[in-house]
Amino acid sequence: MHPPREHRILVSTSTPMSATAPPVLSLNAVSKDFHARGYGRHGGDVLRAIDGVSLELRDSQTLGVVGESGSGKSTLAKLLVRLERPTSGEVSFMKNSIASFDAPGLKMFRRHVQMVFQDPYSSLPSRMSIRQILTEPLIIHQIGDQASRLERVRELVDQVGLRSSDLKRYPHEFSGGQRQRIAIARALMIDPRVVICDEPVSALDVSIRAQILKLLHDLQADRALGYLVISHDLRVVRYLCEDVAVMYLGRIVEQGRTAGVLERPAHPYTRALVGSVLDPEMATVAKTRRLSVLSGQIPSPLDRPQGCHFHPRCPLRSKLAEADQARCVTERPGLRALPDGRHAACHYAEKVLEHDRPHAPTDVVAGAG
Amino acid sequence: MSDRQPVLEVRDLAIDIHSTRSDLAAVRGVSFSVGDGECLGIVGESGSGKSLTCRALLGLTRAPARVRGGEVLFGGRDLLQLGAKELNEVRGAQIAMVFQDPLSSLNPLWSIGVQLTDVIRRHTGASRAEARARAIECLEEVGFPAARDRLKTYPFELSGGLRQRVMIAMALACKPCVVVADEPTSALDVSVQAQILDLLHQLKAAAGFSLILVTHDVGVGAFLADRVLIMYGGQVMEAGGAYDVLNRPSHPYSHALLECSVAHEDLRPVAGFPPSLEDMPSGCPFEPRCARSSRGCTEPVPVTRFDDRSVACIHPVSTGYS
Repeated sequence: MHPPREHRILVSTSTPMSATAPPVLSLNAVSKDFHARGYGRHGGDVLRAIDGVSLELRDSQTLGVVGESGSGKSTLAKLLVRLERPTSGEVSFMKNSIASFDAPGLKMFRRHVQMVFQDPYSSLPSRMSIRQILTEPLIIHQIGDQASRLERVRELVDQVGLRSSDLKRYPHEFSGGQRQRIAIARALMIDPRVVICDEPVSALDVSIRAQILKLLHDLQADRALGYLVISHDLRVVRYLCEDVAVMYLGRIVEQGRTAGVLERPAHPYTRALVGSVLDPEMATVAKTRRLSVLSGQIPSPLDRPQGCHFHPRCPLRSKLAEADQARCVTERPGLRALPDGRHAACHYAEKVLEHDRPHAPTDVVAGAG
Repeated sequence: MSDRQPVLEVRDLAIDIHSTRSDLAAVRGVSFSVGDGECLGIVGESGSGKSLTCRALLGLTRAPARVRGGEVLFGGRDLLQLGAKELNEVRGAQIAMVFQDPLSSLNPLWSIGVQLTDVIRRHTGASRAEARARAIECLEEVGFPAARDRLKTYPFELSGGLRQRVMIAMALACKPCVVVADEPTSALDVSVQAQILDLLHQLKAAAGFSLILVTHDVGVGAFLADRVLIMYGGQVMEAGGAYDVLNRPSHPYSHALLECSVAHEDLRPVAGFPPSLEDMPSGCPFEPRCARSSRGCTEPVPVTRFDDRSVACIHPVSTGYS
């Protein structure tokens, strides 16, 4: 059905084509502040949701952004499609700042960058039939005539696994999974280059979730779409994305090839995140009943720790020498390149890599009895 | 069945949902038992009847749902036959519940200290001071930091993870022998989910209660459960030891559910969607989506038992030792 993933990874690493082509979408040192209500009356408290994030998305690249709630991942999606404007830094589309776009420019931009939202119940207009919903983007962008539009609608409805007879029905007549199919078809109607998916399957049941993931995967492979997938679920990103960026409190803490990052995390936070995934596979092998449990919770973005945001919860820090520990509190770790090409924002990333892996075979053997 | 003494036994539970046209069977012929100190995971998608089943255990079935038949045996009594007063003595004291969303199940108008001491005093008749001491103890047991100074905090002041800890402390306050947890971590972030699951596991080992864990996430079930019950369309599809069932699923639905949950390279999702109550197949509820279905599947399916497993399928994927 779909090409094996290994093949695609091989192609993109052996030919550095992706590295030379200009990024379709890019964030350059973007920060976004919100003024907390009831706090900021005298220039007071500022909530920094995104803190100096740089990111690039190239043609047909699949990039996952992973983080827990409060990590700023949804704000990131909004900044990318200009639903929010950055406080500082720049979001660019084909090297042009999207902040500078006038109405026609913005229309051109939206023609190429589309979005699939999390909740298919609130993201479809309830008073339009499926045919109207799917035709609207073509009308707005003045693509084709009536006959060719209908043909295009039928084609996409078929591709996302719905029937032509569904066209005259309304969103309320569909289940969650079917609505998400409609939302995906709508995003693809005008052949965008990039689709931003904000938690595309979080609202769906397990068996339906698998269907939608497979659909998103196959559509990407067929059309060489660029994906930016925002999710709290590592399993979703592992399945859909070749590259991943892990966010914590508004900063990217680790970024690189999904396979490498998830198999051998270089940042203690990624490591903990990977260790808390409950795959039935992992759990059945590891009847050890051990999760890598982080203490505490993600701090409020209004009250972010100094230095490395993660230091109060970091399991690695307690194992460092005292002088090294102090560095985590005082000095903000920048995102730096590691020998295997990935980036991590930890002063001691090499130590994390040296450390045993979260699901090393020894773990399993030790606890199997 | 289990090698441990059953603490709670459910026999042939049936729950209807009343609608204007007819009564719809939401749960049909569900039977299981929970052993002493055991964790039973009830795994299913939405609409599988898992939450209705566990609510029925505590007499929390509310209109339009109605228990049509069956027995819930606990301590030699059928809980379904008890009146409100008798039930209140069991609920909270001997069988406690942890709900999915701690924000809506805690009372927003009362501090957590008041809510905790209320439960303790009602069931044990302790004095105010005793109840307060016990409340602090409970909060400390669930890893609530600085419990003594924070009895006066209100639920809205706490994070999701801490609220869930308060819910668990409340459930365990009267040292129940059975705890029913309905999706206890579904509203939480992954790192917090790991904390709460770890906590439940430790508390269970220390206090020795039996745990009924209702979840849609096979991973959560696999982590905590000793035995699992896989539900679909209001029926039990497969039950058995967690390790066995999740490693070698026998029912095609269990197989499909695992296949969907793992999301490795060659994801093979099962087509179609779960049946609606109005439109429930007469035989196996999974029959319309099942690749192995035959004509016999449209008849009510007998339950096959082997080893310590029961499977409601006439074309199981695997049987016995393989």
